[in-house]
Amino acid sequence: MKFTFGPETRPLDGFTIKRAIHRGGFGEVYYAVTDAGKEVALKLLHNNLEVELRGVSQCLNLKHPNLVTIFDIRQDSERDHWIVMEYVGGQSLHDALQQHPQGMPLQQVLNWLTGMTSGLSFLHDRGLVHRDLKPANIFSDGGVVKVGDVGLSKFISESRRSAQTQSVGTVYYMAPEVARGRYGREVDVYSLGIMLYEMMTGRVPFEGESAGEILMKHLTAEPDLQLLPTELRAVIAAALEKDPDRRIHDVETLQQRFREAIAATSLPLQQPAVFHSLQPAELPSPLPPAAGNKARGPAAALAVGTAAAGTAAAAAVSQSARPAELAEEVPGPAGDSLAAESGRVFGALISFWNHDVPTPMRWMLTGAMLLVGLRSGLLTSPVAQGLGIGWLAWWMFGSERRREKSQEQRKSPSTTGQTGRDFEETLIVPSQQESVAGPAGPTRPQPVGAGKPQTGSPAWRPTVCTPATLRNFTFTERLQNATTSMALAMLTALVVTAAVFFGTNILRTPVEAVYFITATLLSSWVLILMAKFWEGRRGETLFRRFWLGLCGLGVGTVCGLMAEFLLLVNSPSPSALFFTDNSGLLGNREAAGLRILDSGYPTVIGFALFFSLLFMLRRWWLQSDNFRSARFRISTSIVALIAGGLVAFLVPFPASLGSTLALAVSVVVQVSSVWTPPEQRLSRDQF
Amino acid sequence: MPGQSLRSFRREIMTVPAASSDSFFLWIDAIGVWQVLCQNELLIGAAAAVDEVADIALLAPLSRRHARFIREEDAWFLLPLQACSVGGRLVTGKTLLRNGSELQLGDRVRLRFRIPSVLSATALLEFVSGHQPRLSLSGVLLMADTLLLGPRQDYHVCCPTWPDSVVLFRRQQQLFCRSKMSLTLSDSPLSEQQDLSAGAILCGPELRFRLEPGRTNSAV
Repeated sequence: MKFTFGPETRPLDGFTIKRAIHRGGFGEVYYAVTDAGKEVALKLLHNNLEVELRGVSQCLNLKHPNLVTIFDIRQDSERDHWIVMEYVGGQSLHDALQQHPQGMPLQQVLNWLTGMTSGLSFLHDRGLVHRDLKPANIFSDGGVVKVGDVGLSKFISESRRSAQTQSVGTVYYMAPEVARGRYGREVDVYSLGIMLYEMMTGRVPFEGESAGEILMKHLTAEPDLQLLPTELRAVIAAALEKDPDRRIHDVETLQQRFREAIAATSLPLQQPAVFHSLQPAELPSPLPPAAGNKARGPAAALAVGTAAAGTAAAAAVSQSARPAELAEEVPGPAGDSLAAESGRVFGALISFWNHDVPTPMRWMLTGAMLLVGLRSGLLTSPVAQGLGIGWLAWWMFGSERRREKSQEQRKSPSTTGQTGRDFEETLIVPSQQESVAGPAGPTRPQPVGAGKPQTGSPAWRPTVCTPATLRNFTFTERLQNATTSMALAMLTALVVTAAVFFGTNILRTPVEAVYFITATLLSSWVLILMAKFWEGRRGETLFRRFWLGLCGLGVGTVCGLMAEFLLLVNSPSPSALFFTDNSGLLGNREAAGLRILDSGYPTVIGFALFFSLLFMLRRWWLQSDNFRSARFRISTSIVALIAGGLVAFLVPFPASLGSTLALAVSVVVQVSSVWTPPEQRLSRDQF
Repeated sequence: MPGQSLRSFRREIMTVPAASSDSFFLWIDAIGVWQVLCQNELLIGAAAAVDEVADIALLAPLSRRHARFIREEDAWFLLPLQACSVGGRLVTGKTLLRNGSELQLGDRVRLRFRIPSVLSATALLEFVSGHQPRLSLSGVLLMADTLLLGPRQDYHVCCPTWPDSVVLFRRQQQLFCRSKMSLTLSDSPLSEQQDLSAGAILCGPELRFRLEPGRTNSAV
């Protein structure tokens, strides 16, 4: 780190610089002593930033034990401005956090909170907002907490715009409304909430590779409160509320509610809070970064935390690195670096696709790619199907593994399997007990009055909402959801069929197109109906697959009869669409009276079998759930396409028709089913 | 000039001229400041307005001669002159200090004694109770022969941002510096034979530190 001024220089008359302390986003800070021997901190603000000094001058005469005192503002011979401040010798909250990668003892959290609240409420009481709270700005000097950089935020925002030098550190604590230029005191409440979360869990709620990604998460993502003890979730959720009008309004209230919640937990104050909700033994083993392109979230951070605590080398790194950066610095097993690197590249690509490409563009690109694939026959060619089947096998294995991992890590109290219904495999699935609002956790004794909402705070509701989240729908609501989705499905099926008809050479005649749209629509309707019936309820996967298989038999029979009725099969001039020269794995069982193929064309039984297996192979209800991770996921549809090809290969059934149908059904089900964006899920009152 | 008179005033009452290289301050940019004491016997006690006697002079309710740190070979001992306890136990005679020992002087002052590196007998005193000399210190180093500075936790001074380590070592009352990094002393490359006991500002890639001889943490 290079600094402008060396030891023993005297840029300001009366002050001798002894050493540099640090470089912030906007200037350098030095330790200096006056001629009489008083130690001060000197903050150099470069003139070329055209800074406005009003903010600091406003705070020049504020006196509070929990605020770093500003003594004076001086100008040197170069016309640079210096802020003369109280020197605070102790460690910063940032340093303290580095020492507790798994979360601080609660007593320490309360100490920091008390000091910060006192200083901030003094500021707010004078109509001032700090705006740039972060652990590096909070100090503890001889047990007294001091909030630093008071009045400097104006500088910081100015310099941020002019120079891209700010560290990502600031962004972790920035309230969402700051992006819209709104700076109420709720901004400080939010930052304080983030710091409370970090002090308790050892990590910030929103991590990311870039400032943009983190800001986006502040705006849209819900914090994962599962790491916190149940009693504390409501108050942190209220402090991290996206909408400043709905957030806790002042720091005093936040402190009061936090203390009440701590009292309600009856946790020992000498230990970190997360110690109780997540025993170290249950933390996942350290996994290399490549293991979770998407699992960069809690799993990765926790694993890194364990690694950091476990090895001295990693502990040394943790002194200087934030968890997010740490993920890339913890040395993995030898030979992992290539995998890690490719994992990172892949992760970055996924992240780019998910965050930086606008949704309509994503849909259009996806549609175009699929059309090109189908048209060229690439997707339905035997090679592609072979690859697809291989990938499907790998993917299923992978998702099984990920699920096991997430269950281990969440300490799912159930082996009944309700947590396994994860659509987005990496999402945290709230367990049954917790989502029913009990202060759960088998390791913790049940406090008195458990299960009753605490006075003054709303009952806790899950904040990471997935298809596994239990919800209460009335029958009318279910009907409404189903009919809306089914109505929309008609339109979507029409569009999809039109795309296949005009975009590819799979459907050659209008009759085939009519058949295709009817089969797609019928399948989608049945799947949507079943999904909406099961939505928000608990249920065994196997049970649901069985029912879908039965439905598939019915749909297949109808589709087979329809094909015969339209003279597409079993007629003098059958359609080439339905012809297959594959004898399949099942094939004809003449002896058992099972006739699946009739001279290369599927019989009604063949249709029924195909649809039945297709319905069973995928967990279709997840594609229709209104809490699915995204309205439409291309990967889901491609898996459906491959599943279609696989089933067609097994039954046998015409491969191109089978896979295209599966793709179409998946697209129609996903696009048509009603969907709640993640940020609106909390406002539902169905939990 | 008023500033000038203040400085001379301060020098008169507070600064004790450095007799040799046996006491200096180590100022490290972005890290902190340590008082480095090289004697084999050191006095710790209360700071005094005139006639400072203690080598480690704390602003604390202590006697001016409260205890002595004594080094014999590679071991450090505490010789209490007033009420002292080590590891919670009141001690009356010379007591061996181990890595991690918590010392209490009088009723209030608590210090932690550490020997960070197994490679050297150099010890580190950390301020636990917040009682400090007149100017704030990050800690006090009781230097045996070597001082390791660098990015590792088990160095005497851990400088996480430094790319490599620096070794300060004493030979015949002189102080030298060695490093794999290319360090400069007033813009010219530093040689290992250069005696630094008169004070120096050393610069390297991403680092800068200063050795300031003196017993009292002087500002001038």
